[in-house]
Amino acid sequence: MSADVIPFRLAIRHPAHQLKLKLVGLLCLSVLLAAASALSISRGAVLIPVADVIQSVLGHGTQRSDLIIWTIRLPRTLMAGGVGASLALCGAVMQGLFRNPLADPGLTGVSSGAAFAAVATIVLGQNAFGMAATNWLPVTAFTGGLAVTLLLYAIATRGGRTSVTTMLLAGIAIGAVAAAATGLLIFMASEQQLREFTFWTLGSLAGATWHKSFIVFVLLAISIPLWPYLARGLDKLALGEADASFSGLRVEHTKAIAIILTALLTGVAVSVSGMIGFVGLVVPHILRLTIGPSHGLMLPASALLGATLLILADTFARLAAAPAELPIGIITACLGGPLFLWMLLRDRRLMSI
Amino acid sequence: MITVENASFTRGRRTILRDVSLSLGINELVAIVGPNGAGKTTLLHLLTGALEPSSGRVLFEGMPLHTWRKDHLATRRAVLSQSRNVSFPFTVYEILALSMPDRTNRRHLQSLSETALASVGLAGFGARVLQELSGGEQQRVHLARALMQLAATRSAAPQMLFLDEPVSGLDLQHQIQTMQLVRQMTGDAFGAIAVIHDLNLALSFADRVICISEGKVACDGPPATALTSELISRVFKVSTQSLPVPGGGRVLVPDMHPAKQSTTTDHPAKVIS
Repeated sequence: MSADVIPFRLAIRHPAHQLKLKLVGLLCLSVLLAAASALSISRGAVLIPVADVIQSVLGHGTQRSDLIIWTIRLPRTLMAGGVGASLALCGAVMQGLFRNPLADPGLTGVSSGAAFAAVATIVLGQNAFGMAATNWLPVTAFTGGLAVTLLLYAIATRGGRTSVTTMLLAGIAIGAVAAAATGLLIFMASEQQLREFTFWTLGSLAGATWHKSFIVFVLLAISIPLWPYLARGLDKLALGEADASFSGLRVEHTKAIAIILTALLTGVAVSVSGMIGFVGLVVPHILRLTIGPSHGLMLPASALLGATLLILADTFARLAAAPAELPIGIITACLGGPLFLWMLLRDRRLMSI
Repeated sequence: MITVENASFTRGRRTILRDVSLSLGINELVAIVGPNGAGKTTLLHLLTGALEPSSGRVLFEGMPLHTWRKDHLATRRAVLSQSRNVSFPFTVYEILALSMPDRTNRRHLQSLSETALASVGLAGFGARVLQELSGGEQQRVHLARALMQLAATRSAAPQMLFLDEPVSGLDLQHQIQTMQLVRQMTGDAFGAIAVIHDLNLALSFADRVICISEGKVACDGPPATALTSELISRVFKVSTQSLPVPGGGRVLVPDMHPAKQSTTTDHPAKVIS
């Protein structure tokens, strides 16, 4: 490959074209997101033409379509977008932090902690406080996820230095304990509780409300000013922690921000929608193979593409078995698994696993 | 200017460096030599702040190294370390940009990149993906990155370059090219410190050689006086001859078959077998 015949994948990353192509790329992803949102709002048990959707969102809709869109479809689409963006963003951050393309948001222990808290709420909570306990599930799942992350962070930090390897391995150990405790509670659960928990682990956006999507978006919005800082830090961390530090990075500071941010974002996402796998793993991968590994572009692009993919998956979940709904985790895993495998085999040489 | 004051470093029960005191100036090319496991790399880690001494201290420009802000320190010194694997498929341009201060002008960045790449003999490699280059080429990309980090903030303030085995894994041409490059930059408020295995490279290019043996400084001085045959046989357990080179200077030739000679004198019994 000579210097003047550069494939597109590299051309987009050449400093001479960088800014322009970066904007074009983000614009394309935004258009894709808008299209997916429009599709998601218009399709469902009742089909509303896209033109009517636009009318309604602008405030000129009919009463009937207004009702469906504003109380059911819009909050759900927003939540799907917010959760997808959060998960994909956290996946990109985790992969950068752990310097491993196989990392996913669950690595900080959020998933195992949240799953344990969820089953505890469903089983123990319902036994003690009745069915109303389930209403608290988002709060307990979030708290459980965050608690495990902070515990892991404390275990992996000695003398002001956090070892991400220790964190990863301790995460496996604590995850095993949490899984055992979860298993014990499942053993104690009634048929109904078991069903409830199983659905929660498969993930669903059926519980979407304006309130929940608001929380997801506020947290996401608060994180945006941190993206450029994180992006530079994660780029430098690709050199290894020692070299990142030599190049002027406050490594511990970057790691702390990355870990806390992903714990919060993933915690909120898991608490409102259950466990949705593969979005955080696959989206950064797709992007790395097309626009390159630079996090400055990767973080916003991950958020946009993650939102798009989860909105589409949710639309499919609502339509595939209508009027019933498929758990969305099934769809993301069915799409994500083979896609991931395909990418892995196609571009093996570019990844260091 | 970097000063090591009575620094020791222990890992577990093993003392790797024992009460080392040194002062390294900003206008010299210093070669750190010594056998495997002597503590060379540990010394370099202490000098760069990658490790903190178990006792004693390391001062950079009079201030303890760990009290420096990382971004300020990065403008004053760069490090080419031994770990050179990058976790994601970055292009060479992207790698070079990683060591730049946060707000570097795009055009300035590009011109610095081209200069740095040309200086390590990799002109035209900018758009290539790092992992697709050979090991030696990747190593030179990292050298270019270190040079660029300092060039970006070249000012009146003195700067230092630390190199951990900069020529290991390079072919002969690039070994010499790399050492020449570092040699040319040294002086004029620019100091370089390199851990080197090849004693002849140290002899030909360094202003000063520090030999580390069993955690202590075994010699310290200009190469001609420091690297004596007596010292080399004591520290490296290899006997050498110092031969003059036409055109000036000298070269160390190790005795490649020491067993034949030494056994006849030291262990006569073994000759029989």
